[in-house]
Amino acid sequence: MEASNVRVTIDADKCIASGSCVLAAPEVFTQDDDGIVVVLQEAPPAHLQDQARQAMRACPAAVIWLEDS
Amino acid sequence: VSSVQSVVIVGAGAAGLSVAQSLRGEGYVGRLTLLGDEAELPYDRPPLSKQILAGSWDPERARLLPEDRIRTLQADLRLGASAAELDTGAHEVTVSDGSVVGYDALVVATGIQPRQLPRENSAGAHVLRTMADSLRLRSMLSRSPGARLVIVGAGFLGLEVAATARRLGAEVVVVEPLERPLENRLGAFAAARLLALHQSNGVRVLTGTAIESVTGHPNTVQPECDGPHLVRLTSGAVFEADALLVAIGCSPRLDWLAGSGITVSDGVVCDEFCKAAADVWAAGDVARWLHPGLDKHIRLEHRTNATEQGRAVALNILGAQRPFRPVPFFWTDHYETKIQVSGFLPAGAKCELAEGSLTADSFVQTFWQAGILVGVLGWNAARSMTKFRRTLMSAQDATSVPETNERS
Repeated sequence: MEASNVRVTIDADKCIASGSCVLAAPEVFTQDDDGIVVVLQEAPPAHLQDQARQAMRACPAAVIWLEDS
Repeated sequence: VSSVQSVVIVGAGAAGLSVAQSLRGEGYVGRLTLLGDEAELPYDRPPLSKQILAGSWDPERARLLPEDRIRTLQADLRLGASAAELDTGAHEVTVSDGSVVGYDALVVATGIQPRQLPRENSAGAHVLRTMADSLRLRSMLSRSPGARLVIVGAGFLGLEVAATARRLGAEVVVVEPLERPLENRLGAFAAARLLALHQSNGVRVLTGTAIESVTGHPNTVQPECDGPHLVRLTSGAVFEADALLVAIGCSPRLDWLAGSGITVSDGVVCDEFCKAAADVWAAGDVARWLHPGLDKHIRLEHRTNATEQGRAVALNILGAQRPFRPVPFFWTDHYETKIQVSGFLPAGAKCELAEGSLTADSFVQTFWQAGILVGVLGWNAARSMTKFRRTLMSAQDATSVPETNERS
């Protein structure tokens, strides 16, 4: 298994359900029935970190963070 | 390899901050100056008509970045400082405090400002663009439950405020000159349904009529204490209001560019790379750029566009040479209803029901032109919309998030 050096954190209460994170990183994020962000992989492996970072940038409500762990 | 050593971003809203974050994210290590004309740390505007106005969020909650993350940008963030003058020849911006900043690349991200009614009718009237505006209106509405609020303009902002004000107990009248507002933004069906939603929540929506006059004793020193106003409509109706909100749209903030040689026409006119002139770029609400998919200049006042265009500008400053070709996306929230639109809903497009039922609480409509999917509207259908957005992006052969080789 690939090691992960980053951790995804979200502030779901601020999520506006744009789905932009899912479009950018479908393996890291999904949406609940109301469209609110759900994290699939809190510690994404290296090959998903670029798309996770894209999702962070794309979020129009700035609710996604990638932290070095 | 880019030779840019100094970037000046004028405007510290969502677009300006997106440029800054993307530059640093791409490894730019040069000078970065960010001018913000408000005193607050950079904040997000969509909550101003919703959570901030409702009082469910403290102002800090609307910040675009926590303070420690702003520090990691290593930007010279100058708050309360606006750009006064641009000298493109000397590559210098004169700041309102008199200082002069040189640039290799300049980004205009000054956004927009609310339009006003003629002065005789707008003394003491509220507008809603800044955090201070929102807190002022909130203060008035929360101090006087049952206050009579007249909102001029049945656009997204006016109607979002109407929804929030109803929840705060205000009596709300919306005055709108158009007979059928928002049809050009939502299509005929959803526009009518949105007005009906407001009516069923007790908002009086008066369409096809305009403000004739506003009289009273407005206190322009403390606008929140004004009223009652006597509001007279062109239809002949007359009523009293404790507060007036003018929400009739915005215009780009361009004054400081006068004499700079930058082409402005309802926005900073840019090419498909969001470039306005040599070493000058524009992003966000203020930018009117050549959309390569549409082959015409457009300007979008969408929150998502601010982020995406800011990122596109950052990449192009660093030499990407990539046309900015987004599939637009916006949302608007009213009571428990969330409306989302992606793509374009041109007049005359063929509209089809794609999911749900038009009489139900959730549906998706697709808009077609010459057999091509050009737009999608979701009514309480956020999860489905993601799927349709993906389809729309491939239909229009465009990506809403510019590709990148970014490494942290």
